[in-house]
Amino acid sequence: MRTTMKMLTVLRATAGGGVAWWLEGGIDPSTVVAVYQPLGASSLAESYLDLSGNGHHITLGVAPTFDSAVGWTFNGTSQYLLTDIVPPNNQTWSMVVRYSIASLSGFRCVAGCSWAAGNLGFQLSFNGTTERRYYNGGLRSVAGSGVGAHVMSFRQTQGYFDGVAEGAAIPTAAGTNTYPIAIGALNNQGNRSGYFPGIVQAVAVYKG
Amino acid sequence: VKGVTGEQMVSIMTALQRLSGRTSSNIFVNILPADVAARRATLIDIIWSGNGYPSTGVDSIESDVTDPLSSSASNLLRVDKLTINMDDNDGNFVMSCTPRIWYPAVEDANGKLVVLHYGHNGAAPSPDENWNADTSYIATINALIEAGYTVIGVQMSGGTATHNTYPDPTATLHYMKFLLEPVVRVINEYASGFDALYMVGKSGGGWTTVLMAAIDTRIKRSIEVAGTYPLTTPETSRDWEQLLPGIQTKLVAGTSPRLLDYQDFYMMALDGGRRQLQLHNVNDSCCFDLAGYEAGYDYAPALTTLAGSYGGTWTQVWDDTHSDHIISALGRSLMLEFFSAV
Repeated sequence: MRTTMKMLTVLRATAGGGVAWWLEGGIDPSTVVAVYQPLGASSLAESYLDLSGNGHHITLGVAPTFDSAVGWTFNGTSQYLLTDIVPPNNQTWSMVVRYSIASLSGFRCVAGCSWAAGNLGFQLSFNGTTERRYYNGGLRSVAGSGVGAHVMSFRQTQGYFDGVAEGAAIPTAAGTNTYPIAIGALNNQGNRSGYFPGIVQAVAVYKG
Repeated sequence: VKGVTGEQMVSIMTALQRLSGRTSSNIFVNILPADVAARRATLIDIIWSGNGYPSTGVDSIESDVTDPLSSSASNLLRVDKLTINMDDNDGNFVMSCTPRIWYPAVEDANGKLVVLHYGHNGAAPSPDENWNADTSYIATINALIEAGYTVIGVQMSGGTATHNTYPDPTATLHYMKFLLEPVVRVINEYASGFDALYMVGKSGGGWTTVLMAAIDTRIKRSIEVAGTYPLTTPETSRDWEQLLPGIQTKLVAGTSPRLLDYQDFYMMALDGGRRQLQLHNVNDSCCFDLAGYEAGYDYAPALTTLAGSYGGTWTQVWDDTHSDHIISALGRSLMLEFFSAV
């Protein structure tokens, strides 16, 4: 007799099936702009690779702490990563992130960019533990904490938290975006703000 | 370029949640350690329709009855029959359950009580007296008695006749209470007379063990055998209660709240230094086998790591020594080791 202690092997890019997680639900691959998954990556350098095959590899920023079993841990004061993805301000794009954070205070951004002052941008953010903020053009703020381990996204004008749609449609905002998405902070008109003091495990950006 | 639909976004987010490889994230568990007590209260409120957790013991005890399982433990002292009558929360009788308690000889008794639940048995109209004569059930009772444990054997209320046939919950009555209340009430009756209370269950009894350990902190150690997976893991053999009616669990789109899934129940069974063992059979002839587990996400490593933050220990073990839906000889050995470990 023997006992099998199961520690099952899991492929980095799949979630138990044969389809990469960012293509779940029959996503048209041409919809995918970029995918980053530090969780399970073999090294910090490998974690910067765009898994979509579109070549949007991360090249700039202040490196976070990397652990394959955890993801990117940002210090909340100086660390961030910069992509070369410049989303248009037309509310047709979408973004999803998986993150963990133990506490939140003030404005903090998991990933995103903004092109002018005010409540606008392309970003997933928080205001302390009282607001979850979805920006795709304008801002849709939803009351609630983002503390813990969660998956957060917006699809065009709709915000989602752990797979549940929340809040009314994100409003529009004026302006043209020329700034790429940062991860671990907001790329605020070329400067960084809202540094995220937590863990980012995966990010994906879609056209539509 | 096609856009991302709402359904596709939910699928992506669900898949992202299932990604393994983490050791420090609690992504699989919807509740945080600090929320366990409040969620336990919510769960009790749902199942008992706001009438509070049952505080009464059994309705009657008939001492020294014939052993319905003809167990053969050499040190068996006697068997008592316990009758538990349950109502619809308005005082109207609905059904009864008649567990048994097996006492070891006084000189062998270790002062510890084990609730042993072997799941759906028997058939209407008197299901509780159609005891499952499964040899592994009898062997499990024998093993416990011979190790000095006092054992309460509970069968699933309603027997096999109620597989998937209970009504949907209403504002005043949730039929899940009839599956859990017999365990609550035998615990109310007997737990205070023992040094420790443990529970082990197979199949529907495994499900009952998971729910009861999450709800009742008097259960210090619990073993679920082939009784549950998280609902995100594919499994076709789920009974009515398995789907947790009225307790929304799945990650869903829209406005429905996400509440509890089985991984939450596993972690809710740990506060105060409690321990839980999930013992599944690799080639189980019924359900919850390894193939099913591998079709879902690999939750065990993450939960084992997370258990400490919930105050206890959680372990998953796979038994590949047989192809049945039972607690095997190996399972019984692991059970005794788990219960006796310091």
